[in-house]
Amino acid sequence: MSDQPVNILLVEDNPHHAELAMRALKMHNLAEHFVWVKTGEDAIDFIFCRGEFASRTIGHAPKVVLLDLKLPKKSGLDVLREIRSDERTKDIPVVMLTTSREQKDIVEGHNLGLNGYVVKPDDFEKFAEAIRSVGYYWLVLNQQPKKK
Amino acid sequence: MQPQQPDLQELYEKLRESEEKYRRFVENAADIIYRTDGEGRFIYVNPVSLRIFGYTEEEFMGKHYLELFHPDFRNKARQYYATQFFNGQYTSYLEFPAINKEGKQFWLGQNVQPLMENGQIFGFQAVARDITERVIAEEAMKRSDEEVRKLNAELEQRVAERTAQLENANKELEAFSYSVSHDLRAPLLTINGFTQFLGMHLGEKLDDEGKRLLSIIRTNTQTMQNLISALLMLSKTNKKELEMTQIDMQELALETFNDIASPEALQKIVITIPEMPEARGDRLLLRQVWSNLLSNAIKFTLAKDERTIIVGGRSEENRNVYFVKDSGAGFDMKDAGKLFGVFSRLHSDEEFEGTGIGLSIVRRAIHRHKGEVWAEGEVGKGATFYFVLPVG
Repeated sequence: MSDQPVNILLVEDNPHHAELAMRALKMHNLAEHFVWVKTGEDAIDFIFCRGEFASRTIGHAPKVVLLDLKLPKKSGLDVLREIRSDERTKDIPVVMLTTSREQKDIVEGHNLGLNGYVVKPDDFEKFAEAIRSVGYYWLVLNQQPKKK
Repeated sequence: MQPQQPDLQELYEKLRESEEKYRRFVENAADIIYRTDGEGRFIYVNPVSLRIFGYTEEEFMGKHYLELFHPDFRNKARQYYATQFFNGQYTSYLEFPAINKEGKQFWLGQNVQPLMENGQIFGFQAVARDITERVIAEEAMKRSDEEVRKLNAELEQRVAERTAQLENANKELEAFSYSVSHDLRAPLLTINGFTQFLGMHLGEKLDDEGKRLLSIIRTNTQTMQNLISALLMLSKTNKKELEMTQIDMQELALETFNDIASPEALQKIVITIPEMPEARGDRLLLRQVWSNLLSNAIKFTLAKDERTIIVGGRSEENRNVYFVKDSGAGFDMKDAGKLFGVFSRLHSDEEFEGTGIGLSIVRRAIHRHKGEVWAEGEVGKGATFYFVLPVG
């Protein structure tokens, strides 16, 4: 994998949901520099430029990580915890994407410094709208603090 | 004047008469009466004693009083009387199992008095009565009391166990329906999205039949979404912690109606929402109650020519009663019990759409407020749904 800037890293084990998200982003011209990984392990490798993603530069962080909460093995919250505990990656915006409305998950996510929490609606139009808003905010509107 | 010498003959005569009187009294008494010497050996027993114990007078004389006691009770009796006399008690009452000549056991209640002379005990006299019937009755009572107590305890234990089992099963069911509903959403989103893509992808190539097929898929996806949302709402209704506030019910009902009523409903239905007593409850849950009752009323009223919905509320002692009355399809009172069950519906989807969960959400929400729900109706003549909330 080449060392290109990345706008969105989507961590989603359900390939159909990944496609839905990608198509929703595409519909709104937000799918440029979009990367999809299926597991929490791959997400960590990507962010920390290890394994398959060793050729990346850690400074080229994604503008936003869309993270599914319920992933096999390493969960979304685990991934978030690792991102937040490293000085180099702790400022990467992370938005949780999930079907769960469990208060416990939401609270824990926010305690770990989650930037947003989107409950996947079961209606595609609402889902597309949610994805569009998240993408638009983090790719277009948001100003990240300048790195020292 | 010289004091007159007492006539000894006359005195003797009086004494004899008196003794005769007491002897007759003692011998005709219904109770056992006896005397013993200082050792406790019989020196006199009345005829009743002979009859009750079955001994002859000869057999009685020289017997020790303890021999009348049931062998298991003799030690206890000895100690009891020893204590009595040691403490200088003038009289005592003891109930004990006695035993007659044939070995048959019966119960006596006995009064004993020591006979004293110059501070020395020279004998005892006793009056005893057969109390077998009373003791048996008491024992039976005690036994049945104990049995009742035991049965009660068992029953309580069983109820507690069943309740715990039931609560557990309920919790499991709740967790199950919650997670199932969640897991069902993921494929639903996919179906929903890809149906849309398919429509977009085929675009102009889609003929009327293709459009019809796609629309059936969409409608059914929508139905399933409604079901799942309702199931999740039901489970939320159970789990949500109640946040009790004072609620203006007129305002809440109005606001809810305006939110849920379609433009068609707003235009065609005549609805009355007057002032109502304030309620104390969880706003979100009570909003859900109004929402489900009103949307039911709307659904069943729109199909009719006369379309009125009357909402109301009144204060009663310790409670407020609210109702939603419609001029819709109504129902047969014999089906009233089925109205509030999960997935239980009185109409087919062709007649009226619905998930069959709405009213069970209403019932749970009201039960969580320690209130009640019920409905009255008549086929073709509309239905009235009542809910009651306790005051204070």
